[in-house]
Amino acid sequence: MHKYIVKRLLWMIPIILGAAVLVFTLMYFCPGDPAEIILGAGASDAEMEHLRISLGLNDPFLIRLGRFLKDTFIRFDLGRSWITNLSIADSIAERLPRTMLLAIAIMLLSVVIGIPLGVVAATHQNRWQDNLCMALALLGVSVPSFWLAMLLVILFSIKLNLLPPMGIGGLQYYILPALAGCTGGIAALARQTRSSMLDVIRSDYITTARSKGVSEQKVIIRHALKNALIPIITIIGTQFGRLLGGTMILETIFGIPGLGSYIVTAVNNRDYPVVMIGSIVLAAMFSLCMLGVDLVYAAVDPRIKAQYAKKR
Amino acid sequence: MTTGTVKKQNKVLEVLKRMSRNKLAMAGLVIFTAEILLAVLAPVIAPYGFAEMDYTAMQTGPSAAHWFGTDEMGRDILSRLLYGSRYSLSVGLIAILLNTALGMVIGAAAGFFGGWVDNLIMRFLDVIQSLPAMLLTIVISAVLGPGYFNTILALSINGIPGKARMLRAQILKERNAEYIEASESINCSRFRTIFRHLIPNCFSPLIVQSTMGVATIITTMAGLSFIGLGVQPPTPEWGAMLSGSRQFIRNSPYMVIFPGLAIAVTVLALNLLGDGLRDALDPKLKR
Amino acid sequence: MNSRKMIKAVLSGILALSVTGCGSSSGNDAQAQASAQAKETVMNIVSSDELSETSQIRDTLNIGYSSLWESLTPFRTNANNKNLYSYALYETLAKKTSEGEYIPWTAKSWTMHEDGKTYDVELYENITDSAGNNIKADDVVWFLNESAVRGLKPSFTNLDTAETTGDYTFTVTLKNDMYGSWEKILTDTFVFSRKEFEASGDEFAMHPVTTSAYVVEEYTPQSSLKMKLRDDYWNPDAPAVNRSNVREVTFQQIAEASQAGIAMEKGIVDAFINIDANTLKQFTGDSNYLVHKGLSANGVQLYFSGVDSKLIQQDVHLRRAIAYIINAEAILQAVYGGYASLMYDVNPEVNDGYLQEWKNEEYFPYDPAKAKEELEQSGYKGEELVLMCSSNASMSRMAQMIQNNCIEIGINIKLEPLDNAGFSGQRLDGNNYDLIIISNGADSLTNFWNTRFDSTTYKLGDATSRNDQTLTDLIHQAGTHDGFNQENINLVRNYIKDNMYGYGIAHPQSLDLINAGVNAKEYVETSFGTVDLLSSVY
Repeated sequence: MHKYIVKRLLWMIPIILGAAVLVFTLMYFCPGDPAEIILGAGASDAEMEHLRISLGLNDPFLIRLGRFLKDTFIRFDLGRSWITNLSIADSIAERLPRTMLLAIAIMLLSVVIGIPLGVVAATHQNRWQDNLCMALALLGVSVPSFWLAMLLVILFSIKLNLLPPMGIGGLQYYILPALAGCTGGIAALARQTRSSMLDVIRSDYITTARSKGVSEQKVIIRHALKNALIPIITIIGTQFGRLLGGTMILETIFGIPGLGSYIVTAVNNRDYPVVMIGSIVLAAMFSLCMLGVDLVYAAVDPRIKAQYAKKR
Repeated sequence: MTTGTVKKQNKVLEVLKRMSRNKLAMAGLVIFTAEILLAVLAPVIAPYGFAEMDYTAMQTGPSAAHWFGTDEMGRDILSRLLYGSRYSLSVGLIAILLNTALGMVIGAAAGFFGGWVDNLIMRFLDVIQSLPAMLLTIVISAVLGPGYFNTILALSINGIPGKARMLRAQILKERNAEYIEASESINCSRFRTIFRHLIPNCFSPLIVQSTMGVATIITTMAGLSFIGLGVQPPTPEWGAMLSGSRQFIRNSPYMVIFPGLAIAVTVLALNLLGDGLRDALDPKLKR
Repeated sequence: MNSRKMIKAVLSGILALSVTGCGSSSGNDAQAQASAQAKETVMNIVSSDELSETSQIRDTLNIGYSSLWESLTPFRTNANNKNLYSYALYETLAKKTSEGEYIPWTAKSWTMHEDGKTYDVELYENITDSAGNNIKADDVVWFLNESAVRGLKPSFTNLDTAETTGDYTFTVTLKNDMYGSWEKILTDTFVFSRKEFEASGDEFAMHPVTTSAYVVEEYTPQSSLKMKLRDDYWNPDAPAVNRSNVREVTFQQIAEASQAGIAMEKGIVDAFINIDANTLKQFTGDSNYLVHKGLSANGVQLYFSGVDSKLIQQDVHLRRAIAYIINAEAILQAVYGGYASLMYDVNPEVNDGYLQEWKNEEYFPYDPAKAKEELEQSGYKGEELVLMCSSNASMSRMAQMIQNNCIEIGINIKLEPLDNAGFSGQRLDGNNYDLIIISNGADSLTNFWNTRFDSTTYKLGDATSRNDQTLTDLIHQAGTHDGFNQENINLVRNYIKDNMYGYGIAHPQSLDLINAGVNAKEYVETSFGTVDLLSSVY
């Protein structure tokens, strides 16, 4: 098992390197001269040229890429923002917890709403409850998140006066953003729960359990849901990994200075180092999430656990 | 050959029959078909041009002359939504076609060549998938710049890895199947055999993924507009309309409600249709 | 040029009358009704020399901005340079009042030599920062020279050298004798300790050691900046107009226009500076809110590419046709909700040297007949012209309206809205567009002409890559302290107008929304058109 984890962690290195090269290459082709953006229109040619040389913008692609990879992965120097001159490592350390908190809140809401919807839909397959639950689950994901966010602000902050409409502070500041952001998770979880429950419900041992006279509720919770859990965990893990990089719109609307809005602002300002390091961090987080999913798998499913044991 | 086609027709009919029992999916299908019709007929039914400004009726609420009201520049919102369906739907459809085609080619290459080609392709897909979809779309949009085709291109990237993986998995499954050996022994080309079996097996997941893919692309496009990328004005793309009018939500809510509803209805219809298709195509769910 | 002071005085009188919380100029029925019902809530705006000498110290104030500085470093570009927190962080050599006068601040005095480009400056000796350092001439001289090297602000491009002549005295030499150039330097020179700056490690990005009346309590980039009054401020007896009367002030960034309105509704912020006109509409006629309308420093103009191979540069009739067909009145309504005024030159009227008589002349009013006439004399045959603009909401709205106007007489416009970086990277190269919308301002006509129409300013020529020696000579002639007179000013102005190198579309008002609960006894304005809530009298 440990061996497996180490192996998986080592596998992350080429992936993250690949992500670094990919984002670097994309940004390399981004139109707009960073020197001009940093200095503004007033700068003279000599000043711009000076800056270009000091940032290494005149060097060929491969040399710039090599330097970037060396600084990041060998010297572990994440550098400074071109625009603000702030240490990128510090900025990310300050912002990542906010994005994490938002992502966790979103995931919690998705699980609490999505899985019950899926269970009810599966146990009432093809009846009106099924239709209602699935329509509800899909309704949220069908509206653009910023639109939903604005409507929620008007309802919960203005009309009902329950929640703060923006900013950061206590946990209550994360409720509205989480509500606006959980729609994707709800839809995915409800769908997955429903279909894997249906698979399990039709399988033999459930029929056996039923015929043994186990109460219907027990059958569903103890047997069906438990056995349908593995694909659901995959969805939770993947969604969480994706969320870390998918909250930029919510962060902008709700004024949360997190990682997403940091990177989007950087794309807008052609703040190359921030975009690249931010992306690498997100890629690493995503890979870790996927590793986490695999480990939970092993813990939940004895068959997989046995497989790892054999390998060892 | 003839029996084959009959069989196929039967299969299609069977799927349609199963789907017709799913009311939600049928509702989705009807709505989506109606929207395609409206998009095609937009120039005929739209009461005004999509860029036509009436300075005497700027930012007026719904009325007899303008059913959905007018925007801040005096343009008829209903007409813009009708014309907009052409852009929103076509961006979604073309982007899906593009990423399906690319995903199939990449997946097929990985599956057929195997070995280091397969390895390389799979690692590359790992890399793409490790980056958040929205981030990748934003960066590519920034690189390509605004515009209709550039937006399509940026939006099509995200579906590629999923489709490529699916096709590769199917090919690997088929390659080891017994009937391949059998068909080889009767001198059938291995390549052809695989394809004949492959297409029907891939068809159902592909159609389901694509239906929902169009839905995702339409909402993602709205998100891009929010960030300031994507299709640019005066193109009445729904996402751009919604994002452009969002600051009026308190004063003239109708300017924000109607484009939002247009997106919501379409995306919901596509999602319901996709779910229904998946159920209908799933052999395990046959009853 | 004292005309400016007079205009401002008259203007603020008018404003004081019209700020009873209604957007009267938009002429909307519903609005008029709403304002009729509203109680009279008068905002008492006073000129800087009439401000009461004594004020209570207000405990707290939350002020909203659509964007805050992304770091607090004193070396900055012109982006986002006109705001209250800037002056609550760093002292400047002089301060400019809302009437356009420069009052000595950290500089005790300055004198200009006869050449018009050498200045002797004497600093106050008792300036200290929040860490207790005494600020000397060395610190300021270093900032000046460093600014010239970094080239971030256009204000410092005319700066040749600065030299220390004593502990608290120094000499500044400019490259050219240029009217208004020194005054820009006076207000753009931030005063702080070089030692502390270098010791901070991040160039004061997060924890600046301030020289002003405030210290930074808490700063979260892209979110908020909290500042508190210092008890050891070096200049407690400052003139009332620059005194700080709020003990603890928090500036909040609220980027979304709709959220700005909600923050005001919910009382999250007490005031929102430079609120979007369309968001403001929601509050007009509500007696719980005060609306402050001022003239912003920037107008919005349409410029034409100056690249010689382009039809648009070769054909003055085409340019004039476009100027005639733009329906500026409609733009004022659609883009600014009526909170803007027509322009009579490319220069906004707040620029020093602007002649009021221009307002009586005809300035390309919307006139399809004349536009057609001009178009017929031009060589235009339906070619597609590219209109570049920034992709933000107001600019892209304006671009769409211009496109719509132009199609009336058969001029085809293709829009090219670009994001921040794309726009600033391309706007100086006229090869990228035929027309471009830019929001421009400067403190004086000379600075304005210099940044827009002087062919020697940029690599490719003027700001649209034009090379026009005649105009450049005229600008230089009118730019010196001796040459800055009505005759020369009119020569430049008419040359630009007759050749239609740029067209002033709209001069938006700077709009501030204030919760009536703020309840200041006297409000004072900044030099850039917003209300100054820190120095207002409570």
